[in-house]
Amino acid sequence: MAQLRRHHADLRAAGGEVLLVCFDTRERAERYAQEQNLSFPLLLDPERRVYRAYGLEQGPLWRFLMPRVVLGALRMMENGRRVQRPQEDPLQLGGDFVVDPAGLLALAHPCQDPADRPSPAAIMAAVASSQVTTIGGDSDGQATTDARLR
Amino acid sequence: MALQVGDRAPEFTLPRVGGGAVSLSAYRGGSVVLIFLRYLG
Repeated sequence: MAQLRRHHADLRAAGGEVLLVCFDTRERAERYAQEQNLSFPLLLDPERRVYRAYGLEQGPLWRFLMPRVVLGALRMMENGRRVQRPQEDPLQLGGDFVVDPAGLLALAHPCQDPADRPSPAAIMAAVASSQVTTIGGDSDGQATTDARLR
Repeated sequence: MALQVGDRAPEFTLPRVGGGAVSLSAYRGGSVVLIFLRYLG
């Protein structure tokens, strides 16, 4: 999230945005946005219609008991963070997508288990390549995008 | 069938924390990073 925050200004300047979607209640989401001082829009999908449209399903229970998921939770607690109980459906999985300027998917990563998320670098690389493809990938455009990634 | 790279991103309009609503198509012409959260925290 911190890396995305850093690239947020560039993304917005280029007409793009980072959109967060959650299925929590409006009250909890408002509290979270305040606590985190979120600069991204936080969208509410309590019925999870958009989750389903993007193919994000509920994971089988065993995936939540895998060692890396349990270890990830322990590491969070070690760092003093609370492991919060998902509000309504603990089995709902998340996902990360990059939509290019033409409205096509440049990255599609429905999470296979709770610890399965693409790296911020992979997300930003997909953003950069989607912009280069649309701009036409001339050498100047490429240089700008590379500079943005650093 | 899962969404693949190159597929059209499904359009949506959702209410936004802080008021109003946001549509994906409002960002046509720019890149959008779409993050579906499991929980807030």
